Amino acid sequence: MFSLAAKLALTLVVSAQGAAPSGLTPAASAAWRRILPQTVILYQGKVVAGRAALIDSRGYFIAHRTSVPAPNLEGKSSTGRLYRMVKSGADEPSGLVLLIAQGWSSPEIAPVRLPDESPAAGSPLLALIGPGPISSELVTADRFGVLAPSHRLVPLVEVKFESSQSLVGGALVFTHDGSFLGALNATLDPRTDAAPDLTRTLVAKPKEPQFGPSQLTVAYTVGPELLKRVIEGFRSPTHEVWRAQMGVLCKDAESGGALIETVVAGSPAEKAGLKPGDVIFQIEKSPVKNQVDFAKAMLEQSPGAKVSVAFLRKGQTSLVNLTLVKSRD
Amino acid sequence: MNRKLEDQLVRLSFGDLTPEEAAKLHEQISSDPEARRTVDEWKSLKSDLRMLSDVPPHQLSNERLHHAILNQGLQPRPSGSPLGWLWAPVTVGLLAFTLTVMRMKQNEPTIPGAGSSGQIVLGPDIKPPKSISPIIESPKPQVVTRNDQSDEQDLLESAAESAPVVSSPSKRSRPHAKASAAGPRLAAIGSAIAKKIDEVQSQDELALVPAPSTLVLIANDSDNDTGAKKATEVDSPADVLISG
Repeated sequence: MFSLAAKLALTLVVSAQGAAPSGLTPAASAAWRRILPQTVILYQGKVVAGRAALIDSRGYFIAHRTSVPAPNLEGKSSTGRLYRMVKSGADEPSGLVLLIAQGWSSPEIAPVRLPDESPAAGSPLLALIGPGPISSELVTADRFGVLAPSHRLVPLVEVKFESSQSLVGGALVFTHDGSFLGALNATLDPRTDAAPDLTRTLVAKPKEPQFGPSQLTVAYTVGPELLKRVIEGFRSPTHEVWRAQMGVLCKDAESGGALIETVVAGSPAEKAGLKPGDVIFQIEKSPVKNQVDFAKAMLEQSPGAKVSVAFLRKGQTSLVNLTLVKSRD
Repeated sequence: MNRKLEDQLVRLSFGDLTPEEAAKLHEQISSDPEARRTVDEWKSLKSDLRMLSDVPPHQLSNERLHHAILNQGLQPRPSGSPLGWLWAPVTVGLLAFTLTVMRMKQNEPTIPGAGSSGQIVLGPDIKPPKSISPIIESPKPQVVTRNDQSDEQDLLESAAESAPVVSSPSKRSRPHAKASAAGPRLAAIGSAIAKKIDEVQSQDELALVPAPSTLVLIANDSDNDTGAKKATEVDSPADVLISG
């Protein structure tokens, strides 16, 4: 009975607070009302820093580092209650941070859920920035990015907003059915997107006239599989996220494969005898046609996994087995 | 038509997509007359290349043709153009000259997917191992030598299928032929190209994937306007270093 009353009270409060922000479609507004209880607004003093999403009923929240300017913040739930939010973990490649709400006691609020499969291109999305939600659209869930300075390959989900937005970095992204897609980690430099490489076009085309909104923001979150790993790491007792690594830097080999440019001293690759100039063309049973294939094969591995690596050296093929180590980068 | 789709269509015409990718792209452009016209024009160009001479099939990879055409800044023959026919012999002549020069670089390895299966070149004293020792917990990584009796044979056989091809000295001996040579050599080259197109077109189920070459580089510094890290697209990621 008390649980029912609590749910009813929560719904009424959320309904009052979640009156549709202007500019949202009815579907987006309905999505916003579903998502709102699972998030808190982060404050640094009286300044809104961003938003965080509930990932565990123990009061674990996830946010982007741009929304966490200090290790201790305040979080305001949809019911108006304030919590002290303590930074308890971080994952550098994704930019995501774990915050634990001290004294969290709202078991009726379910943590956010991840999508069962990647949403289709063109799916409408909701991006939550500090002040509230904005509409966006999924461009593709099949992009890859390389991070500086670690050179780590990360799967990306590309999202676009049909207007120039300030401070979208760290915005939490949801589908309209309430699935969590992560936080916006990077935005595309509009200058590169607007300047086509004419040396690669077959016909010198005049710049096409542009219709519709004059400004477009393209941004990226990390892919669903990586997001899942980060959340699992944050939920673990150590709140840490680890990746598998063998200790090489590769680029494309001219005749196919991943050409090793650097072997990290003391790494599993060095111990196994891999050297700069070797060309990796298979990991386990996955063919490696270029350095991206190599990194994708590594994304599927876990720290401690034993893998076979087939490589070419001066025209000769060889096979080595090595045990991957864990890395935070 | 955007640049990425155009690039995909060129790859489709030159047989540089996997069967899955090609079929998905065919499905995607089935309702796009402009895209279909582009593919037809590129395929016409390929058939014109049957007139080229003296490049041995095993050195004539799709990627080299693709690269040579792009470097020449060639344009697809526009439909209905009254002077379109002038383009074909000019194109053929330019490509013949380019490929004649390329033939002189006889030590370059061929590119995988050029029509031949992967081959492993082993030294005369090297024999593939016959079996694999099971991978049991071991604190130290194992280096498998060619003398090990292990199941490595299975992995090496599967690896052989994806190993890059390295041209051997014995395949460099074809003598230089004049650019005007025709006949059986032309037919062999044209057959190799046409066969590649037929292989792609005859597949039943294929999947479209985004342009494989585009990567996004994410910088370490943040954008002042958005608060997020700055990202730039890279169309040719061959030289991008990736860790693993």
